[in-house]
Amino acid sequence: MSDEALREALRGIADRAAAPSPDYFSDRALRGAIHRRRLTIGGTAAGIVALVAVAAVSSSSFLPPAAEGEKPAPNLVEPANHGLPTPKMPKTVPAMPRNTPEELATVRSCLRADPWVKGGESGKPGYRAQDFRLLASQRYADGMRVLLLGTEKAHTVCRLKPDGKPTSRDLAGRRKVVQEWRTGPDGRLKVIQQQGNGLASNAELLDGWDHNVAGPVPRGVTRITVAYTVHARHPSSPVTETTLTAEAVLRNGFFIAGVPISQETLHGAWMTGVVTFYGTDGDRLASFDTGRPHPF
Amino acid sequence: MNQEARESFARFVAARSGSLIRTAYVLTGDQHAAEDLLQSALTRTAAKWKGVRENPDAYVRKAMYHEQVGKWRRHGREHPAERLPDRGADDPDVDLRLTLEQALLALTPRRRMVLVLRYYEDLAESEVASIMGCSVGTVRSQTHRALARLRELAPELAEHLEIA
Repeated sequence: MSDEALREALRGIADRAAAPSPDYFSDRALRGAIHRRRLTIGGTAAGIVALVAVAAVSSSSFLPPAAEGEKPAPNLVEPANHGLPTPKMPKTVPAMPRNTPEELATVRSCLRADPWVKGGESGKPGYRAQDFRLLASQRYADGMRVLLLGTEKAHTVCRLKPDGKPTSRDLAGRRKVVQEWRTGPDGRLKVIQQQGNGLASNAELLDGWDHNVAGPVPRGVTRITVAYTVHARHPSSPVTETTLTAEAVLRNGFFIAGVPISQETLHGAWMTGVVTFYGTDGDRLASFDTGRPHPF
Repeated sequence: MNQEARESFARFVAARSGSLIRTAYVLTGDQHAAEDLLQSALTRTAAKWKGVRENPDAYVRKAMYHEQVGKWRRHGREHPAERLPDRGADDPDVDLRLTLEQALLALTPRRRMVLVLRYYEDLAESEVASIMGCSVGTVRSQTHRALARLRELAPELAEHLEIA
């Protein structure tokens, strides 16, 4: 192997990156650039009046009104959430449920040893295999189950085949990798997203590929759906552009929803998803695109 | 930024974000952190668009590297696992590849960065030194230490990491 092995391994890591939504990146970068410019200008302005005036000029120069007969500017700051607000995720992890012996056995199927904690300390209380509980699970049409496992400190998603054994994707290491619960800038927990990536160097060798979202259920939410749109990666891809939908399972204050994806889709398509949160009256409360960085 | 500049920036992001997020992911090892890193670099790029639009790709990459170095300096060293967990894939080649990937992710950001620049981006030592703000000698020593650390983390890789 040698240096080529290193290159291959680095490419393998890079292949795990999910395809971003370019629009969202450029929108936010442009907004951020204006904010930075305002801060810079504000820092050197002589006084409040000057600051306000300069900020107003900055705004008007960024979004100029279309002149008569001129083609209107493309909307580079298109709303990311289909006119709905982003969900107000809980600030704290819900209490861990009391699992049945069968559920604990299911957890042990996925976590045969203490997991490796990404960026954290393995083997400490809250990170040991014995601390993990089954929080929510969903069964796909092909019989595979996708499970959200967690403690008050960390979480992981695991897939079990119909025979109850973990998929090879989940068994890539004897010890599963788990992550700590993460919060956004507003202090609220982030939704967990897993997106199978067909460009992974070992994709064809593993099974258990799916796209899923999971996490704690926001207050007042009684139903969550996810709709993934399959886009052909190349014009020659043997992939039918379609939409795959899933109804989330809500349990113990957590939810999980996903769709299994075939090797064909894995290699020939990229997917974007929309997660929608509904209230008790069936009204849509919030939404966000999975292809975009978390706005919360 | 005028209308034409905004449109050209949006076109650049549309064309290059797929590649850039991959680099960001190699640097961070985490999807959310990679998106944050790329977003931050793109924001800097948008602010300097007039001056960098001739070669924005290089500017974004450099901004990402600097941001990562800054984080490393602000937050100090990571404390990765002393030894990687045992692997369990049936195929020895897959097993080795996964072990190497995991070992790379367990390196400190600076050590990972030097390997990313040298072996993922295929940059010359002088270019790596320019981006990292250090001497060529430091690049060489950092590379050497990063490879040595990989061998420590996963001794089974030692025979496969005979890199000049």
